[in-house]
Amino acid sequence: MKKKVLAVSAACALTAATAVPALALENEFHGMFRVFGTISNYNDGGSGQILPTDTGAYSTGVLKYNGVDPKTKSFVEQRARLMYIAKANDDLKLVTHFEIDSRWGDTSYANGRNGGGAVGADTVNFETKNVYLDFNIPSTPMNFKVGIQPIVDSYKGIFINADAAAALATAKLGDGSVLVGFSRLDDADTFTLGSATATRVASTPGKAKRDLYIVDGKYNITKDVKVGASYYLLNVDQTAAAAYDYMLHTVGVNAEVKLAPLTLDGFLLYQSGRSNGADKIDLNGWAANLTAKGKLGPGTLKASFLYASGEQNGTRDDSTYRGITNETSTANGEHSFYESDMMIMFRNKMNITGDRAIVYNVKNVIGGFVGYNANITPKAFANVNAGFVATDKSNDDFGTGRVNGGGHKSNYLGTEINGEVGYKVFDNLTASLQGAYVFLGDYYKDTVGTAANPDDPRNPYVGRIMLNYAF
Amino acid sequence: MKRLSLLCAVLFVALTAASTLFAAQVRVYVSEFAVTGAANKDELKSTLQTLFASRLSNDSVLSVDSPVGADVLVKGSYIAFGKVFSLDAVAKDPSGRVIARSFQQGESQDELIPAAGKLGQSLAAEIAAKVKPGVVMVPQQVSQPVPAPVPVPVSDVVRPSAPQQAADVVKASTTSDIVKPQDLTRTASGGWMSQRLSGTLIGIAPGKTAADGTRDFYVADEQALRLYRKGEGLKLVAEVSFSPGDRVIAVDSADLDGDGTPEAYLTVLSGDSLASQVWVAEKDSLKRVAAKLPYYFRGIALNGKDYKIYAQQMSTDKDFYGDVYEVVKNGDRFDLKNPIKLPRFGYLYNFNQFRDASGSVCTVVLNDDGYLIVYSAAGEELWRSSDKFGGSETYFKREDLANVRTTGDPFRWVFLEQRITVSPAGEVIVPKNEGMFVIGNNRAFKKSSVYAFTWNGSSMDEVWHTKQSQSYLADYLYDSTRKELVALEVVKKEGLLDKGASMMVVKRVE
Repeated sequence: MKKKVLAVSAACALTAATAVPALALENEFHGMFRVFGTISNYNDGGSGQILPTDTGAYSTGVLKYNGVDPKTKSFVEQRARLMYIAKANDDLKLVTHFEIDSRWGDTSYANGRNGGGAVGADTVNFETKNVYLDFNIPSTPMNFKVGIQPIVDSYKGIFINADAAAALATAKLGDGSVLVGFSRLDDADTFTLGSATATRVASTPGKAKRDLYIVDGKYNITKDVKVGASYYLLNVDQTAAAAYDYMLHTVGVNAEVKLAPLTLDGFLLYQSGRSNGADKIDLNGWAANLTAKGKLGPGTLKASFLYASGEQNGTRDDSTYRGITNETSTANGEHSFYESDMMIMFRNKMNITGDRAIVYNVKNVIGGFVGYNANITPKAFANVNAGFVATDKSNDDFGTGRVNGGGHKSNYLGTEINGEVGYKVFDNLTASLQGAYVFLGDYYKDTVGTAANPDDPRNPYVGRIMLNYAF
Repeated sequence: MKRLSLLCAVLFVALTAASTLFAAQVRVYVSEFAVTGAANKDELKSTLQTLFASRLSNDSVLSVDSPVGADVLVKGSYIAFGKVFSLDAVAKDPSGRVIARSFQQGESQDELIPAAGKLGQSLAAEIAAKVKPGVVMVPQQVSQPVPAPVPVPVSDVVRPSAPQQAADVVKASTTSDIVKPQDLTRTASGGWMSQRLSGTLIGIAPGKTAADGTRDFYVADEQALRLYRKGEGLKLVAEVSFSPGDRVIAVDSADLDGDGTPEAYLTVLSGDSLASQVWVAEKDSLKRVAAKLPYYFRGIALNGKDYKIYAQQMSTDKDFYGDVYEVVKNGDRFDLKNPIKLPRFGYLYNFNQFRDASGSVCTVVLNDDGYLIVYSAAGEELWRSSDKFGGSETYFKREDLANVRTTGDPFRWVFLEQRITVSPAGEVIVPKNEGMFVIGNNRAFKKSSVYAFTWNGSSMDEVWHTKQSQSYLADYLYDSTRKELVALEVVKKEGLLDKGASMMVVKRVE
């Protein structure tokens, strides 16, 4: 009897399996592959801030960089990304995104991310960046994105530009749209902001956490005028340390106006909050940006300005502007300002694992940037950029003060010049040569060496050759 | 013993009866079907073989599993044109003589199995009538003079209602060892094809037709606008080039000023902005009429009526902003009027409109995935194709730093779509490009065809399609007066050092 039941069940299952029509999924793929050959005196293939004043003594969370005698290093790194989107219908799709990073010669036969480039390869190095559902509610203007997904703010990424677990709902209303969202950045009993070496314990889900609430509106007044406003609430609920128990309110406005041939855009962000516990610290930071760009000859000329407030003395009030950071890696900035087009002063948009910058986290900085990019022929292109960067307040955010005392001689961090020439080998494949050099400013005057023989750190430089394939 | 004798007798009678019964049946072997124009070809070949073999069997005909010892060999074919299909079968004796031939056709996949059943019955009846088990009735040789073959007009267009017979065997010519093509400048239908044109061309639009019948065509690549004149051959009359910072993405034409010479409306991206231009052929040169127009242009004959230029705009963050407008020329100015609200997925480059039997306007759109969708005037989706159509390699890029961290590309790629034409007769004409390496922003179409449909009130019926070309179709135009399809095909893609090559082909749609 049992056999009969099994046989009947198997037959039914087979019948059902053959009777079910094939799922009409649309399969969509995107991806990229990038190879960098780098020669540099500061970039070591890692990620995070570089301190030109570092004399080699390793300190937590900061790259070992010998400002007195930085050695030239050369390395090759690569990144592959593959995005697979399973579209069930016009209104429902599952988005997945994966990444494989390696530095040539790093590891082999290992288990872990960012490896597999040594002889033998064969490494478990497959990373999942995104897995989320993207769906519309039919006959409504509502769209939802739920899962681990890319989140970027409306402020050129200086607040958050990261992958995070979130639920975002967007309603399109005529020429405008409103996004409301929630993201859980951390869920751990203890963690310490700004350091991955903290004792992060995650034994009780939901007990202590860091959440981000997002309300973001945009409206096209005309095709050439767009305005937006946002409210971001960062709720840091870490009960073990009062300094990490606060709510930070960030409000912002942004606009973009096209006045042919110029396009102007910019934003203003203000932050406010107070930490709990005995040391109630008032948090008041702000940031601003203005950018102008326009067609000039065969290319585009761009000029940009950025301000992010800093804190002078670190007393009970803290006026540092702060973007979202992670608490699980030494390179903790989960925000960026790619528009600067810097390669050393700020994070560069084409960086992969080797992602170093003097201003890694956007804070306490004033910068002016000018650049020109041109198509020399339909296939060849070139661009040049210059950046002039200073601190807002003269503290040690970007390096220690003069070795003979007296803090920093100046707030001026330095001037970067960089350039790129490239060729579109195919529509999707670009080969380019890039180079950048920073003339360090007086902020770094006499900051290395000894009190008797003070010295200046060496100027950082980098040269790169890049192959970039994106589809 | 008696029992044993009885049992033997019964067995003998049974065996004799069985052998007689089997001997009375014609043994037929059905080979794998030839499948054309359908998905899952390999699967269908054996499925149809099994399906047909079982439906062929009856009291007179027995379907067997091996050709060895079979009296009759049946070969079948399945040809699909869109939803319409034809099942054809031919029965031959072991020496290859045709005994019977039959076919069934249907208009949807639901009719496939019934059609196979009917075909099986009719073929089985014919076989049973002509073949005795073990003996094949050979038709008598008729020693009558064979009439000269009547030349059958060959066409570039394939119509579903009249599937063309494909020969399985191509016989070599006995008159010569060398086969000479008839005329390299002629297509099968008596159409015409141009010489090889340098460059990967992206768009074509009709120019002026002279009294002597010569016709002008505006043809564009990403960096230039050319004026070609077609008489006996195709002659490059004029060409203008643009700066490397400019990118031409489309060319369309219409005679908005009514002077008898259509103007060329060139959609140009300059940096990140639209800076479109209007040119006109003046004698043997091209003259710029307007520049820096912030519009995308597309020439469309809505409902198959007047050919007009329509425009859409770009906003700071949206690639196609607002409604589609009709362009009117007021003196030297180009103004927008008569906005058109489009249904979901619709934008300037992927739509057209036709009227149904009741006179209501329906909008037809190619969506992001390439499906042809018909919407009612109220915006309700009425029909969606099963196959994909359209497909273009023409694109432009817009800076997208907000997503560069995710995409790895500082630019967003925006692909245009193939134009949808509605003829005065209400036929909806849409191209179909195909290729293996069409993934994400990587587009490498290899084959193309152009399809025409009519709306039957509930769905689109295919009227015709062109023979598949082994080239990517960059653009086309349909001349309803001449019944001609002018296709701009890319015969060689742009490479690292060479600019590629294209060809203009005129196909007769008879």
